[in-house]
Order: sequence, then C-alpha cells, then structure tokens
Amino acid sequence: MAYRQLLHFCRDASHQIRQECDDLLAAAEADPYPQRHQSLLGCASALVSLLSRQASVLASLEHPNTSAADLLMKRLGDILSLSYSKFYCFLFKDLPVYWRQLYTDASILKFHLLLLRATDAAHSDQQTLFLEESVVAELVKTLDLALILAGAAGEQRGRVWVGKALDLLHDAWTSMQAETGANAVRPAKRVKLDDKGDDPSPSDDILSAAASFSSFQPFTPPVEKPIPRRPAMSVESFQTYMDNPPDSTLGPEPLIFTDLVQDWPARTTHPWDKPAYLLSTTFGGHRLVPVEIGRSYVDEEWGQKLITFGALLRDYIDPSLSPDHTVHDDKSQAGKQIAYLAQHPLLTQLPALRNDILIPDLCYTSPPPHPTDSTKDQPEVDEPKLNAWFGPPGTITPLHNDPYHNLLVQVVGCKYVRLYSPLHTEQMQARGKEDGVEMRNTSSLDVGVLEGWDQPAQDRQPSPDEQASEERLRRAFKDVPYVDCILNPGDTLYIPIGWWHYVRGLSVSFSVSFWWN
Amino acid sequence: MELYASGNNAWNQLVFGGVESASKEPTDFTSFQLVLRDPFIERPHASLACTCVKTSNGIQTAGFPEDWMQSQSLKDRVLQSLAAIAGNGTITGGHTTSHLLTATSPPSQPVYPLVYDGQAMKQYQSVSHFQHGTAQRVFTSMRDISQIVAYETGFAALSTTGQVWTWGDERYEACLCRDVSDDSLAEEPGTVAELEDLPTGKVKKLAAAGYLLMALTEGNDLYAWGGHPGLPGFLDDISASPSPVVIEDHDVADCAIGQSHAVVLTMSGEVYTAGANGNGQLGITTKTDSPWSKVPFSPGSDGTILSVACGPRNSFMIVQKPSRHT
Repeated sequence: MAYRQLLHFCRDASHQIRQECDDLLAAAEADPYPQRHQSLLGCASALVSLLSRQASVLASLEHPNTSAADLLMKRLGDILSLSYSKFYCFLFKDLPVYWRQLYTDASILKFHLLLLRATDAAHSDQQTLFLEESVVAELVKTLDLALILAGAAGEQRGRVWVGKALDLLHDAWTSMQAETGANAVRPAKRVKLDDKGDDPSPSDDILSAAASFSSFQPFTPPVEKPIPRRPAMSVESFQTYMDNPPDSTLGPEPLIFTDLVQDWPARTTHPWDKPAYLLSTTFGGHRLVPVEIGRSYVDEEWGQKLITFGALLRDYIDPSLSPDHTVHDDKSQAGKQIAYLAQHPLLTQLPALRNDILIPDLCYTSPPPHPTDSTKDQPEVDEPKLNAWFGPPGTITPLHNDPYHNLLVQVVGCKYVRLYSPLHTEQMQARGKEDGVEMRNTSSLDVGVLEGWDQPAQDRQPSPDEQASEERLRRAFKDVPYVDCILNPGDTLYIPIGWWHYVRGLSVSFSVSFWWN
Repeated sequence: MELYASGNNAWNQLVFGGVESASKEPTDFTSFQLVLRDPFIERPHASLACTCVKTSNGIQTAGFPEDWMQSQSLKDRVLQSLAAIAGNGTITGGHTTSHLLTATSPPSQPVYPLVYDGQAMKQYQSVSHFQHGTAQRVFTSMRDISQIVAYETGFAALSTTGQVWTWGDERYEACLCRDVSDDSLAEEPGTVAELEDLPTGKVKKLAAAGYLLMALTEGNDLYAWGGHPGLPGFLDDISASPSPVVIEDHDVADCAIGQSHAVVLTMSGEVYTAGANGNGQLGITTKTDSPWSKVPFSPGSDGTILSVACGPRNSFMIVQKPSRHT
C-alpha cells in the first residue's frame, strides 16, 4: 500500500539525515577546519547539530501529538525560516547549496512529522485512512516549498526523494478517495483558496473532463509586419536556415512553424486546454506554483507569490470556472489582478506535465552566436532550458532579450509577440541597474502604452517637459522596424538570440519555451 | 549584577553553568528569566546558538560554540563590538588599539576575519586567506572606529567622533542610508551624512541585524533606517532615511536589534520590545508580531536595568543590584 510505503520512505530519510549530520559533526570534531563548503557544515555546526537532534526526536517520537512533537514542529520551523532568510542574503546563483539542502532536509522531516500526525488522527477514530483535504494541502505545500524555494537540493535525497514522496502520497490519496467513494463526506464549506488549501471537488460539473478554457480575447492588437509562417523544417534544413541568413550581420530571423507540435500529448490525449486535466496532474490543484501578480514585471506594484494551482485556475486564469463566479463576492475582486505563472520550470516541478511535451528536434542544432555582442553568449547547455508560461488574458512580458535562442511553443490560447532585431538595440533604451539588480536586458519602453493599447501604469501627471520628451520617444520608436505575430494554439515561434521581444497574452494562454544554444 | 534573558534556547544558549538533562530538547524562554548572577557582567554577545558574556570570572559561555569562535582573536573582538558577522557570512571587525578586522567570503567559502595594520582595514576572503595574510580588499577611509555592527548583508561602523560609515550589498540600498553611485560604491565604506548634525548630538551607539539599523545619540534620541523591498518590516516608517523611533515620550538609554525584533531601554528604566515573537524573544505573551510593547518586568525595588542586548532570536537585559558584601 502506497501509504505504508510512504511512511517507510520517510522513516528511512529521517534516519539517513540523522546519520549524515552525525558523521559530519564527528568529522568536524576531528578536523576543526574542514572543507565546509561541500557539506551542510557550511551552515554552521550548530545548525547541523540542531537538525540531527530533530531527526533523532522524530525517530523516537511515541505520540505525534505531544508537547515534544509540538516543539519538534517549532524547531523545524525555526530551521526553515533561518535557512530561508539566507535565500535573501545572496543572489540565487550565489546561494550556497548547503542552505538549500538544509531547507530541503528540514522540509523532509516536517513532511514526515505531518504524516505521522495525520496517521495518528486517522487511526484514532477509524480503520481506513482518511486524510483531510487541509492535511493533504499542508503535506503537498511542505514539499512544494522545498522544490520551489530551495530547488530541493541534496545529493542523497533532494529532488528525487521529494518527487517520489509526492508520487506515493498521490497514490495513497487516490486510493483513499476510491475507497471512501465519490459521495464521502467532504468539508461543506468552501475553503478559502489562497494559502489554506483547496477543495478539489466542488466544481465537478463545470470542471468536467470536456470543458475547455474560454478562448475569449478582451483585446486583439493588429498584426502589422507578420512573421513568415511555414510547416516544420527538418533539423538539417533548420541548421541551414540559421547558418545562411539573408543578412549576415543580423543572423537568422524569426519564423513560425505551424505544425511542429501536432503530436504532443498536451495538444491531443492529455489536453492542457482542459482545466480538469490540469487539475488531475496537480494533485487536485493542491500543488503550489509561483505567480507574478501585477501587469508587468517592471511595474511598481508588481510582486511574486506562491499560490495553489487550483487557486490560480479559479481565481485568476479563468474565473468562469469558479462555480460561484456569478455571485458577487470578494473573489471577483481578486480576478481584477493579473496573475502570471511566468518563466517557471513547471515541467521539472510536475513531471506528469513534462511527459505531455516533446523537446523539438530543432533544439538539437548548433545555432550561431549572438550577432552583435559576443559577451551575451552563454556556456553551452546540455539540455534545452524549459520554462512554462500560463496566464489569463492581458499578461505582459515587457520588451526584453534573452541570451539564448528560443522556441516558444503556444499550447493553449493566443499570444501577440512583437520582435525588434539586435541591430536596433541602441533604440531600445535598455534599463540599467535597479536596486542593485541588473536590468540591462529589459527596455524602458512600454510597447502597449506607446501603441495606445494600455494606460501608463501610474496615475501621474507628467510635466509639459516630460510630455514633450515622451512624445519624442513615441515618434522615434514608431520608426524602428519590427516584426510581429499572433501565435495560435499549435504554433511555434523561433526567436533568435538577442532579439528584443514583447509578449502579450490575448486569451487564457499556456506556452512552453525552449532555450538552447 | 544579573543577566536576564528571553527567547530562543534551542541550543541551551540561555542556560549558563551546565545543563541538567542533555537528552531533553531545550525549550525557549517566553519571558525574561534570570540566567546569570555575578559581581560584574558586561553586555553579552549572542549569536544564533551561543551566548558569551564577560564576568568577573572571565568569559562565560552557554549553548553551542560557533565555528568561528575557534579563532580566539575574532571572539575577543566580537565581544568588544569591534568585530561582527553579517548574515551572508561576511565578517568585519576591529581592535581597541585601532586595529580593524573585516572579512567577506564568497558564498562557497567558509567565513573568516581580517586585520587592520594600523592604517587600513583589510578584508579577507576566508580564514585561510586571513592566516596567509592575503587581503581581498583594503579600506583606508575609516579612523578611530569604536563600534562595528553587522546586518544581514552589510555593516555599519561608528567612530569616536560620531561619524557613521555603511557598506554592503547594493540590492538593499535602504540599509546603507546613503546614495550609491559610481563615486560612492555600496561595497565600499561611505559616510552617512544624514546622521551628522542631529539635534541631540552625535551618534554614540549603533545597532543592526536583519535589514534594520539604529543609531542612538548622546541626547538619547533613537533613529532607525533600512528595509527589504518585498518583505514587510516590523517597525513603521522605516526607509532609506533615518527616522526617529518614537516610544511614547521616552528618551532612549539603550537599544538592540535581533533578526526580526528589537529591544529598547528607556531613560526611565523600562524595556520595550517590538517585532517577531516566534521564539519568545519579546518577553511578552503575544503570539503574533507586535509593535512596541512594554515588557512586564521589574528589576526589583533596589534594581536598575543597565543595558539590553539581542541575539538573532533572543533578548537580554543586565540588571544592577546594590552590591552586597558577603
């Protein structure tokens, strides 16, 4: 039974954590100046010792609802908040892996403790295991935080362990639901969707297997300089296309392939345009995802937060999915904010979805370097970098460029994309460092505002001087040549390295990008 | 004299003089408790897992000795507030005889100190760089440093003439309290003009931790600045510019800051705390974060609270009792 397996799996991990910590502490005792940066000792011996003690308490815990268990939960919380505070001290790329491992291992212990508590509660009053939705939500959240915030670091357990634990939990949860039957007693109240977990069941009618996302487009910009559209190329032809550009100073130019992803399960047997399918791959919507809240990442009020996939679907992506969307309530207020799951390695976090796509063969080519600025070229990647982009109508990715060649696959809905060539970088008015964060790859120009599609973000009263300079900007920018397109479901846009691009979701939209070099 | 403490005790760092049962997990103190009595007690230095305090019997230590305490010279300087360790692993320090220490380590390295040779503050990448005398950076601008404090990603230093320098991660510019430019880099010590010519005299003490810094003037006014974009602070009106900390009408005698809490001793001898109370560090019975609250603590009819201190998640006060010759 998956549930028993999961308990054993947790017990083994807790035991392993304790053993590793004790070995490290013994080594530190023997050698006061060890090479610490390789191991958890980098976090300080005191924290390794604390983690070891908590693993030990967990192993010997007789009842998971005693004051000893409460203290254990608190100490694990202490370790989590402490390691999390380090995530802010460093740029993520500089963050020592031991802080991420400490967070991950403390999360594993917390998951184990939560599971023991759930088991204890279930056994006290009935024979068959029944996990409350709130408990399932808490269990999933604990591991998702480790995945998203800490990248589930650690060689012995890490991402592999977390993935397997979630699979086992999912199996246990599914069989539990089968046993208790569809008419089992469920929490009557609608749980607030934000952080406290999800009720995955109530909207069964609307989230029936057949229902698709709305294709409604509140606004559709005109396409003025359409990018060529054509059937997919062979790998050889694509390599030739990239190697022999019409303008050798510019390099290869953007192109749309109309039938590159026809055979993707995401477009056929595992349809990503069906909310019910997406919920089934996200633990009934319990999985956490990072979203950007606000119109565009350069806006003042923009922010990021973690919400459940179910909350993202019902509160932001397609409010018509919410069973009570016609009722006037607070949620319709939430719907006014735009939430965008953007540039997130969702397919790494959710392996089930990863199986629904295929890496295009075209990524196994050798594209040319950056046409104008070799400092932008990155070390060669072994595998294409995959990112998911999922949002409601009106999401905006401001004009920017990336240091990779990109195949942007439109799986669900429509997006408008406008591209400016690297030869016009001078006119893109790149930003500089902002609050110590390098923003040079992002333009200070807002295409939507300059085109009159959007209002300026702030309600400010520009001075006559500012108005005049903005007008000059607008006119100068109008003259910069560009190409544009509307990507429809199934389209793949090739964005060559260094091309400035502005992306705007027109309907509910789900895209996958492949970066390669 | 007596030392009282409240807050995180996960490593028994509030238990001096031996632990009764090592097998039992220590609990936090949720109110100020007497932890040490000695004819002479200096303001303690509390790190995450360890408390060190100078007494008439020498340095007393409680909790789990930190790795960096294996360097006696660093430990001595830390206890004199002339060395400090930032949350990102950077160390900076000084010496009473105008020797200064500071060290930053790249993230993948262990963290260690560095020395001032009489003229310049030298910064080292790691303890082995320190031991080999290979400086990474040299700062020559600071003189007569009397106190160095660290926050999560940087430092502030105070001179005997009341001048304040700050330096650190440019992403958290508000903590630097000065304009960062090509001429005035975030990573290089720069003076804080806004803390000069204050109405109640020069700065006599600094406090810092987390993303918050404080300066106390000779006229007993307290100023605070800092902040982390995207993370709510626990005090109101904290920005990149020093703003007065107002606790009713009190003049301030002493202050200390933890990772996300702060402690203030008023001239009238009362202690106020604010911020996170997850480990009981506020010494009051609220479960949520709190704005300034008076700690229900009495030093006794003949006692006086002399000073306060903070570890990352705990708080201390030193109480003077009339000396009893026994």
